[in-house]
Amino acid sequence: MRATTEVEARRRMLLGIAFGLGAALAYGSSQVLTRQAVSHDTPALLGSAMGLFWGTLGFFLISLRNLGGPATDFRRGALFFAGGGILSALGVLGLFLALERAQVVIVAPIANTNPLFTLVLAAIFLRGVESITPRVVVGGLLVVSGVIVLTVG
Amino acid sequence: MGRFFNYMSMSRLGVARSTPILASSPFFAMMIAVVFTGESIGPVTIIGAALILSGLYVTITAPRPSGS
Repeated sequence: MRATTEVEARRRMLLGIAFGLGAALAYGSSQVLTRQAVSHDTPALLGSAMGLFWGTLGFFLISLRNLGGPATDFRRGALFFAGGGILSALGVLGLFLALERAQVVIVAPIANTNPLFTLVLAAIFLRGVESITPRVVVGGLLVVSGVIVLTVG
Repeated sequence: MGRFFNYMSMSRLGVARSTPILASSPFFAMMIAVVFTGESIGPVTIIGAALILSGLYVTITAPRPSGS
């Protein structure tokens, strides 16, 4: 019984890592595709709108799979998703405001420190839910440092 | 897809582990740019990539506390 639970926990963790890397790969690929698009003089606003359109269509197609399934009460979750969406929009707004006032070599490294804020906020607000070990903090610091070096370099 | 995968990862690993993994996306962008569009990379880029890979390794192999 215990062995089954451990196998299940390990399987869950490996799936989480695979999905995380898949997300990073998808976001990374989208940057390269966007780079190709802007090199063809596509206006940024039109490009963003097209990206959102295809993203929404993709979400719709993924969601079709869940139609007809058991009803779930997502009201509480919806509130958190809405809060997250509003904060994301504020983040983008802040980034644009910063880029209007300072050079990208200064703004980009600062903006890329966002995972560190996530770790600090998770340690404060998700105490007992999330385990922020020193090793997780070191991993986050290394990734953020690498991204800053890549951005500046 | 990236957002969907991120939510799936977060629900399984937690935000503390999934966020650094997602933050490594510039590494994948760099790799894809090098392989598919032929962009060249310098020593600074290699150092950045090495730091990101080290961070990914440390994050992914971090043991989960018992009971979580």
